[in-house]
Amino acid sequence: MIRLKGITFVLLLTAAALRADDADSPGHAAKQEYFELKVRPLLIDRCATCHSGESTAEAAVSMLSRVAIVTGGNYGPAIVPGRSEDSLLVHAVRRTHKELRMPPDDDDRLTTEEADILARWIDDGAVWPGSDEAPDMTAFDSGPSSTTVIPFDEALDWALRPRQIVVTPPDITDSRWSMNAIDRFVHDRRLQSGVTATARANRRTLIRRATLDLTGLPPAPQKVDAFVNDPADHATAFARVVDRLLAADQYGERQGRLWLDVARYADTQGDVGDIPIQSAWRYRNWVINSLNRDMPYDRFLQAQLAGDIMSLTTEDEQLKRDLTIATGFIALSRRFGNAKKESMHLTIEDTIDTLGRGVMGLTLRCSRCHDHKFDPISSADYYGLYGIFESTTYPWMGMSVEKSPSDLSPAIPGREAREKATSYWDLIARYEYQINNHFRPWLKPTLVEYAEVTGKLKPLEAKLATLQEKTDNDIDHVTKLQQQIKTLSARRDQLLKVRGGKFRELMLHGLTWIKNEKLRLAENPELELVFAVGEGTPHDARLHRRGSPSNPGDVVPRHFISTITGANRPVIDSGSGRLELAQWLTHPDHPLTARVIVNRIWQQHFGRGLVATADNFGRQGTPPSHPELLDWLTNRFVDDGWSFKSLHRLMMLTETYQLASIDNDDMVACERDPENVLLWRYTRRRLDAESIRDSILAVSGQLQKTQPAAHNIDPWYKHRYSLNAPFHQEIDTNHRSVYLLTQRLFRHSLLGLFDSPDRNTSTSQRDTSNVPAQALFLMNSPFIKKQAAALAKRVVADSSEDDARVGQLYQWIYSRPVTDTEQQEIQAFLQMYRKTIEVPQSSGIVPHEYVALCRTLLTSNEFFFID
Amino acid sequence: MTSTHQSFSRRTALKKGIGSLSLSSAAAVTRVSTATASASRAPHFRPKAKHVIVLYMSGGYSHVDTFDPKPRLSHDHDTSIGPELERADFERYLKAPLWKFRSNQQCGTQVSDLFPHIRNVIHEAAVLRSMSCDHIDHGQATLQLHTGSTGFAMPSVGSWLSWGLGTFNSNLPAHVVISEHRPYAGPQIWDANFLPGVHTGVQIKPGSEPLPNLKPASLALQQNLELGLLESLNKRHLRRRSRDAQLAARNSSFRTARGLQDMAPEVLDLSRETKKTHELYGTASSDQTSYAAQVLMARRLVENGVRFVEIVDAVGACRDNWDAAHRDVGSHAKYARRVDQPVAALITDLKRRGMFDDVLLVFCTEFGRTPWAQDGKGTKSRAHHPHAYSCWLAGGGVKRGIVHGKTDDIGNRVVEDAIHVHDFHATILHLMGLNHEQLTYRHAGRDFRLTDVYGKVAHEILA
Repeated sequence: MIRLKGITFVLLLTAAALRADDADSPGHAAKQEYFELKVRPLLIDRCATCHSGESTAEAAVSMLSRVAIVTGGNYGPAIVPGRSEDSLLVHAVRRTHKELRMPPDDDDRLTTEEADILARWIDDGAVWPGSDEAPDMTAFDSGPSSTTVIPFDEALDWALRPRQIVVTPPDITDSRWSMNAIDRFVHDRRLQSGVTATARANRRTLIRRATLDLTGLPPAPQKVDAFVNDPADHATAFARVVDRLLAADQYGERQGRLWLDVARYADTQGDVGDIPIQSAWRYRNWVINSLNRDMPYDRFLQAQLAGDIMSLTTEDEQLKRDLTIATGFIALSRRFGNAKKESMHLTIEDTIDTLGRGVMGLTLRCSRCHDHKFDPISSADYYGLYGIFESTTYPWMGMSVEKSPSDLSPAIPGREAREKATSYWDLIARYEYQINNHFRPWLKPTLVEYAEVTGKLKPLEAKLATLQEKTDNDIDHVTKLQQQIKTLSARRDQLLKVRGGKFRELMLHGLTWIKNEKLRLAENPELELVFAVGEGTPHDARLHRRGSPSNPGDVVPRHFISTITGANRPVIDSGSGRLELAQWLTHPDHPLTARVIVNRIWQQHFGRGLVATADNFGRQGTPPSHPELLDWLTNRFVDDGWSFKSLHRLMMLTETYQLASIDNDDMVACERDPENVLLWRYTRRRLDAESIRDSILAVSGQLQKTQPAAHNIDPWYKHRYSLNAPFHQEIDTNHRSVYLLTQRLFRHSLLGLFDSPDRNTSTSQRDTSNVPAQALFLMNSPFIKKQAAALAKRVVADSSEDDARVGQLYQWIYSRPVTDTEQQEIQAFLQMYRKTIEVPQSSGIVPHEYVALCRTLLTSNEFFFID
Repeated sequence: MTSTHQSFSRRTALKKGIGSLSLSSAAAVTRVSTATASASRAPHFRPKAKHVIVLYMSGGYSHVDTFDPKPRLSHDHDTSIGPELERADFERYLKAPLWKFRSNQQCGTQVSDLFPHIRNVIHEAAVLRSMSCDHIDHGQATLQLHTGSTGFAMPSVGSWLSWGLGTFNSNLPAHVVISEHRPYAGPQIWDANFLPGVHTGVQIKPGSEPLPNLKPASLALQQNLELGLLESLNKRHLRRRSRDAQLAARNSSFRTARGLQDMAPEVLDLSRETKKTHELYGTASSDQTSYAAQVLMARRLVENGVRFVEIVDAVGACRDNWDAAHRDVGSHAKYARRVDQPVAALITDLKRRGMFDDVLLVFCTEFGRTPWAQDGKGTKSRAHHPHAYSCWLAGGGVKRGIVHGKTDDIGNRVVEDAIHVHDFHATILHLMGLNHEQLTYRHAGRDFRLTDVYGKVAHEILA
């Protein structure tokens, strides 16, 4: 957004210009004449056909009224009297504005001379005879008029309609497909299309699939054997596997990672200095641990949107903390630029976009500048939500020009705690200001005088004290001294108040004291503070015309999406409205929230959502492939108490989930449905970035399975980060990837290469790019070499025979036994490789041929893909 | 997003790359089951240029000290033109340029003494004196110059071109950025963002390891054995999965990587250049790091089929660049000396090799500098100025020896033929054969383009 001028300032200036052009001032008559001779004819000839000011006019802004021109329209004021270079009218006619060009037709454009006439008139104060009243504020239009909002359409806006309450799965006679509702829906669609499903995958494939799917790690060989040899019937045996996986701690780490994609989680702010958020990990761990506990989704979401408000109704301190931390979902919205609040409208846009695409499956963000072009969402809806977040206090870890944090939330919220926290940060900011400005030239005279005054005062005071101790003191002398001291003290007190008293401590105690004091405060916060949001001053926001905060329109009452709420707008009667928003979103009848998350879980298990565009259920998204199934599943999810684990179980224990992925002989299916929309096979997929790294570490035996807490990064007061020196750190640990330090402005060298999500915006589906840089990494990087060596060491220690070692590697890496052909080929490889090693290897080191073999197996397609 | 929405024709193979080696579709991106090859693709209409070299001067050079002569600044030096709009207490005292302007003998275009070499070849270029952008800070303006957006992360111009046109040489990436240091806004300025990852710029750091993981982890013979076994394993794995294009593509990516591993050092090895060429650029044959060496590298990359090469000029950390805010504008001399001869040499060299018509040269910066002194009367610095600045284009499809656009008599505002960054982008795409309104990508529910809802091609500068 161009940072030119605030509307208020323009208006002030306009008023000043009007006063200056008092009718008595010299030259005024000449200016009036210039207007009548040159300007008015031009405006009438070239502008007024469309800009007539009549209610039926083609263009909104009348070019026949000074007030209207100064007030302007959607783009802001058309002229700034006295400043042609800042006047939209001049840029529009000269075609130097990036968008607005007037007259619109290139053939009608004004000549240079004509444009110069307008510029001169504006520079001379835009004198307009008979029109010197102040601009009329009511002339501001309210932005895009409601008539441009797309009307609701029953069919196109299917996702905004309530769910079908009773959905009956079709009758299926085939016993393979009649066992559960999901299979019945899916099979019915396939039957209609004449597409046949593949066979069921074998147990080894299944357990690898399920384990990677639910935990992001390959199965341990003994778990594979247990399942393969389980004498129970298949359904029972597989259910046992799924239940075990759902109960594992690794489930939350995998599922949490997927939610953190939606929540665009990062450990940094995303501003020019990408300033680190030391306590962000608390939100990350809260997400993981909540999912492990199977916190119901409605509760999970409410906590993230309004946890701080909900915490006021409980006495349980641990619960209070957790609820506060959960609002990291909002607090972690991206920051922009150099200064706090400067681009707050973009930060709130990120909040609304994440809420929109992430939770509601709607591209609400599109309505920031205008009514949505495709969906029935008005700009007023956007600013109805905007007011809620403008009434919310976002925390800051500092910005490049404002180093210290502010508005961090007390972990145990409450009004008193919040006030305490605020005064704590205020005091730090106060000291910081003095540290940053103590050397300024404008301050110097004050400091010098203060030193003089206090320098004189001290001996005088000492003298007075000595005099007063004596009994025979000279009264006159004492009075004189007291008088002198009084004058100097008064002067000293005045100096302490210079610049609003902002430098009081500097004068009283000196720079060293302030620095020490600031450090002492920074190192010892009185209460625990976390990166969470709080309640601000509740108010309704003004609409930003054309998305520009410097061009405000009407005040929009806080509300949600009008097309969904209809006339029954929930009442926002206290606070920001986040609690009401959370309750509205998680109401069992909300058309979007439950559908969207059910579709996301489906996408996780089947590779493609029933709605293929998981973050867009609007008209530009893809309509559901199995609409009845989506509603049936969603009803079931809500009825089951919004339980994720029940939903996973429901989806995974189907025949559809267990289909083989290998080639089918049924060419009909391949040709008619190559995308597998009808679910006639399992969609093979590449491991995502985190699963690649975690699986390699798991197989090499290097994975550290504990849950870490804070990152090993310096506290905020140790560094200043800016555009020229941004925070950038990559901390190598062997923890799971979800626990690695995650930056907004820098991608992790391994994860970024394999398509980890963009941390700046909510991600719905991972890409799987295939670039030579990935292959180079796998061939030559120190990381892969290190893991291959660790794995080689592990397998060499495990047994002494080449055959046995290779067999073991296959179990660990591929979860299956090696075949004879493969065994032969690999033995040949080992022998040939040994011949290339010129220097004999000592017995103590890991044999090179095994390192090479391990690297090859770890980078092969079979390891990288889930069948 | 299973289908990659492409509004341009998918006819493949524009078999006209200079120095083009192979057109195999090895470097491929797959998403679900849609394979999008990054091999050379067809443009919207007949392109004027096939490659782009961007010479980005980081920090914002002063237009009134380089390419936009304003005699009034010398004449009215130290006189005030009144206060700034937002700061009523700040008087703007005009400041004379520190360097004398002289005319190129052939076209008359004036360039200051900062760039004597460039001045000698400016008759080959179109100087744009009417540039403007939307932001006054380096980070945001740099982001806009590269992506069109000052805030939200968007794909970079190189990524759009890579996606829209593909590559001529599958052993090399289509989009390369030579950047010794981290630029303003970081890797975001060459990120593919929502475009497939293969279009992300590959950063080359001049020096011993220009690309990460380029050094083989084992002897060539050993690596051959490993890659042989890998290929065999992958082929066996493919047998019952033959319809899965992503498996085969991944398999072949190791061959491509091997090609890159072998080829990149060769392409970047400047000792292969003749003595005459080194003299022209002012490099020594062992030099792999100077700006001149980087320019030579860019030429070699383009010669070997790379579509888009950018050189980010920053000497040390970000602050050691053209930025003259609260700093003597005289510091420009240091940076001009670094780039002047090599940039002029590039034009001469491309012409000599018959490549000039195939390559679009873009000499640019993120914004200009104020015609007035930043810190009051007589001070040495000029502030950031997004309202007017100068860039130039040369080579494929660009008119030669012209000046386009005009600022007012002090270089404060554009008064004629404005070229906003969006127009600049539209023009670059046009020269490469792409219509900026049709080069769209469906993401998050709508079609995105480099120029957002703006952009107008500067037809006047097209040859």
